Amino acid sequence: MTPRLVIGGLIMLAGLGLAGARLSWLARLVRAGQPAPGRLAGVPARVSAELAEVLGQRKLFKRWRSGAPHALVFWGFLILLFTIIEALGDTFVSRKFAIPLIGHFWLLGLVEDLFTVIVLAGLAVFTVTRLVESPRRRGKASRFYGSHTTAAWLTLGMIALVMITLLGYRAAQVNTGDFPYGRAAFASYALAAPLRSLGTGANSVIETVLLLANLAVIMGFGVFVTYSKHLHIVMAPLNVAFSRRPRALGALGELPAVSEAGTPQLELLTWKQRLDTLTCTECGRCQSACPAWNSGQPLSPKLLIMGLRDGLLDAAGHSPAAGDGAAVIGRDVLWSCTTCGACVEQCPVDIEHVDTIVHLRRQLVDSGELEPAVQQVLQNDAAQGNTFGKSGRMRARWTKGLDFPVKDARKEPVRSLWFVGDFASFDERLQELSRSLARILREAGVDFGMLFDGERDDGNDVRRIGEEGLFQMLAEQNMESLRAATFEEIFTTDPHTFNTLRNEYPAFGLDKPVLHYSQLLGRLLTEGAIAVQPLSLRVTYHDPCYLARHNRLTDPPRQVLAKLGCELVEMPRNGLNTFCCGAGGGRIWMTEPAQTERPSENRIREAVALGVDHFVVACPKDFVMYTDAVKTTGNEDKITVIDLVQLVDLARRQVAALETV
Amino acid sequence: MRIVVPIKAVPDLVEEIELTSDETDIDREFLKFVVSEWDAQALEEALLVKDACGAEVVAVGLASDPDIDQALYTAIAKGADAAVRLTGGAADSVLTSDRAALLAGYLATEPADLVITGVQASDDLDGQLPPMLAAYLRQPHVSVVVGVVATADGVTVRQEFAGGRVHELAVRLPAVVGIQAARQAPRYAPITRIRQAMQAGGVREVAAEPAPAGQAPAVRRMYRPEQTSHAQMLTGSADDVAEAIAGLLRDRGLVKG
Repeated sequence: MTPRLVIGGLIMLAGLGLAGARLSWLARLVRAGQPAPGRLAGVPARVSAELAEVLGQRKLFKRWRSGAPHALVFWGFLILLFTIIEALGDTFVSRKFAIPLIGHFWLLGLVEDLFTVIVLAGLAVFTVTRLVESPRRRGKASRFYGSHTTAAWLTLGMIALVMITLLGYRAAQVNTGDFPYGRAAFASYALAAPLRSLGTGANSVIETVLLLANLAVIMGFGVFVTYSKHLHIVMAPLNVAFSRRPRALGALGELPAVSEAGTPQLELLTWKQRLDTLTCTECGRCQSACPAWNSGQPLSPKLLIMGLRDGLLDAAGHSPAAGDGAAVIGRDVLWSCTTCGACVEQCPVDIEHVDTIVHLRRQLVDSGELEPAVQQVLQNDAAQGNTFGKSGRMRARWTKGLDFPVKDARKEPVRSLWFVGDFASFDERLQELSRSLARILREAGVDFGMLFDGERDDGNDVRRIGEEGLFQMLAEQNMESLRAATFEEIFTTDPHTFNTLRNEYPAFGLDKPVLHYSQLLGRLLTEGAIAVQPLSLRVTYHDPCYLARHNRLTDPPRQVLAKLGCELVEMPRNGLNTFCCGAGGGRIWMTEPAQTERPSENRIREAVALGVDHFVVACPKDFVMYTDAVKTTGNEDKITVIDLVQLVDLARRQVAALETV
Repeated sequence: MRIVVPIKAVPDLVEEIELTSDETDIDREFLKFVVSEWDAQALEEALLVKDACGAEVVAVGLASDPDIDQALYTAIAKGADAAVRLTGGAADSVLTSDRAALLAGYLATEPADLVITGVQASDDLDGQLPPMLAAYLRQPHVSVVVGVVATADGVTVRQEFAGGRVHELAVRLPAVVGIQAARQAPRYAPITRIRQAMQAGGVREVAAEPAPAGQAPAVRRMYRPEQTSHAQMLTGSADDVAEAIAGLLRDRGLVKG
C-alpha cells in the first residue's frame, strides 16, 4: 500500500507542520504579555473547573438550545478521536489495525457510529440556529452580529465533511470485508448497502480515497482551526484552567503594575488577557446579555475581545510599528461598561471581560482621559470622602431625623457596624429608607452603630472606574476608622459597598464578617425579632448585580419576601441572570450616552409585563434608577418601586395598627 | 520660558463656614481646603503652553495655606516641573496684598518670564492678586484671560469681555496674567501619580523676603450670607401643580390674564 502510505504521510506532515508552526507562534504571542500572578494557585479548583466546564460543558447549558447540541458535538469529537487513531492505524500500520486493549469490541463500533450520526444532527441544529439568528436578518439584536460568520459556516462544512468521509470509508470497508465491527456499527452498514453493487474492487478504491480524504479534511481542519475563531477547541481548556477561581467576579483581578503613561493598549495586556482573546469563539452570549449593547451603546464584550485579538494579531503579524500607541479599543467603548458581570457569567470559556475593561480604564485615568463630570466626582471624593460633593462631616446628618441616638462604634463597642455608604447617607430620597432601617433595627433590639464622619466612600465604583490610587486611599482611610471601632460584624446598605468590603478589604486587613442588610433582615425575621403581619402583595424582585452575580446572594432577599407574605413573581431575567440597571462601574456619574433605551427602562418594561404592583429592590442605586425609569416609561400607575426595608416597615406597621385597634 | 503659577488653597465651599467669635475672620480650624478653581485653570493654561512649546512650569504656594502640599504635589502630578513652598512674611495673614508682596519677593530672587495665576479666588472676588503682583514687579498685566499662546517675542493672550467679546493682545515678557478659564478643562491628576510625587518629595521650601508693602486695610467685621427666599415645592396632581404655577406667574405680573 505504498501510495496510501506516501500520500497519508505527506498529508500528516503538512498538516502537523502548518498547525504546529502557527500554534507555537501564538504561544509566543501569549507569553509576551504582562505577568498574571496566581494563575496556577489552587490546582484542585482548576481541575474541577476543567471537568465541569470543559468536559461537562456546564456554562453552555445556560442556553440549552444551542448548548445541548454543542455538548453532544464536543463529546462526539472526544469519541471520534478513536476513529482518528484507527484511521491512522489503517493508513500507516495495517488494514487489520486495532487500538491496543480495546481491540474491535463491538461497543466501540456502535458508539463511534452513534456519535457520527449525533454530530451530523448537531450540525443541522447549528445550521438552523445560525439561519434564525443571522445578523443579516436580526442586525445588532443577533448574538452573531460582528462575528466571523463565513468562518463559522466553513467550520460547520468541514466538520460535516469529516463525518461523511468517515462514514464513507467505513461503509466501503464493510463491502470489502475489512470492516472490523459487526452490525452494531449501524450507520456504516446502512451506508454500505447502496455501495455494495459497485463490487469489491471499486469499494476498495473508495475506501482508500475516502480514508485519505478523511485524514486530509481532519488535517485541513486542524490547520484552519489555528487561523480561525475555532481555535477555542485548543485554547478553551487552557483558558479555563488558568482562569480566576471560583469566577472572575466579586473582587477585581490581579493588578499589573502601573505602566508608563502612553503605553500602547495591547502592551498592557497580561498573558491571560491575551489568551482570553485567542479563546473567544465569537458565540455572542456575552453580547446578548450586555446592558450596554442592549441599550444601543458602543460596547459589546464580544467585539471588545475580538478587537483586542485582531489588534494583537495585526501588531504581531506586521511590523512592530503597528503597536505605535494607537488605542485598539475606543474610550467610549470602555466607559460604556457597568461592570455588571453578565458577560463573565455567560462566557462558556471563562473570558474575564470586566477585569480587562477596568485594566484598560486605569490607563485612561492615568493619562487623565476622563470626562469632566467624573473628574469632579473623583476630586470631591478625594477631598471629602464622598461622591456627592458634600462635606464629609454631613455624612451622618440624616440620623438627626431619628428620635434616638445612633451609637458611634468608635466610642462604644457594638455588635453590628453599619457601613451606610454614600447613597444611603447623602441622597435625600434614600435617607428616609436609612431612617426606616435604623428604626427597624432599634425595635428589633439590634446592638448597632456607625462610623459617622469616620466613614468614607467605600471605593467599589471608584476602583471600577479605574482610579486605583483613590480606591487605595479610601480603603486605607476606612480601615483606619474601622480599626478604631469595636464590632463583631459589618452590614452594608449598598451591594457595591458589600462587595468591596467583603472581597477586597480583607487585603487591607479587614477580618470581620460582612453582611448585606437583606441578610440581616432575614436573620431578624427568622429569629422573630421583628413582629410582622403578612402583606399579601404581588411583587417582583430585581437582583442587584453586585449581590447576585458578584456574590451569589440570591436567596436572602427572597427569604425576606417569603417571611413578609409577599407573592413573588419572577422576571424572565432573574437571579444570576439579572439585568443591570445601568448605574454600576461609575456609570451613574457619567454623561448619559446616546442610546436606544435605558437599561433601567428596559427592565421596568420587563417587570410591568408580569402584571405585579411592586418592583422590589435591595440596592440604593436601584431605588434611584428604577424610580426614575418608572416615571420616564410612564408606568407610575402600574408599578411602584419599593425597597426591601420599606416592605419590612409596612409589615411592621400593620402589627402596630392591629395592636392599637 | 519659565512660567510661575502661584496657587492658593481656599476653604472647600461644600463646608459650613463659621465666623470666629470676634467676627473678623472665618473659623479655619475644621475646614477642608482645596485649590482655588481659578488657580487650577491657571495651572492648566500654563501646562498647555508647556505642551505646545516646552516651557518650565513652577507651581508656587504659601506654606501658611492649609493643605498646600497636597496642592503642590497635585501640580507636579499634572506635569509641573517643580513646586515651591514659600515661607516668610506675615505667616498668618489672609490679605491679598500680603500674599502679593511675598510672591513679589520670591519672584525678585527667582524671576519668571511669565506669571499665570487665577484671576480671582473665592476670597478675592475683586481679583486683586494679579494687578498687585504686576505692580510690585513693575510688569505688564492682563486679567480675565481665556487663552495664552507663546509667540516669538512674547505671548498672545485672549482677554474676555462681557457678552462673549474677546480681545487679542500681544504682551511682551515678563508679564503677569490673570486667568479666567483655560482653553480646556483642567486635567485630572490620578491619586497614584500624586502619591508618587509625594514619595519623590519634589516640593522645595524657599524663604522669601516680602516686597515692602504699603498701607493694608484691616478687617473690621465679617457678615454671614443673608438668607434669601427658599425654594417652594409644589405638590399634588399635575393639574394642581399647573394651576399653582399659573397662579404664581399671574401674581408676580409675569403673565397677563
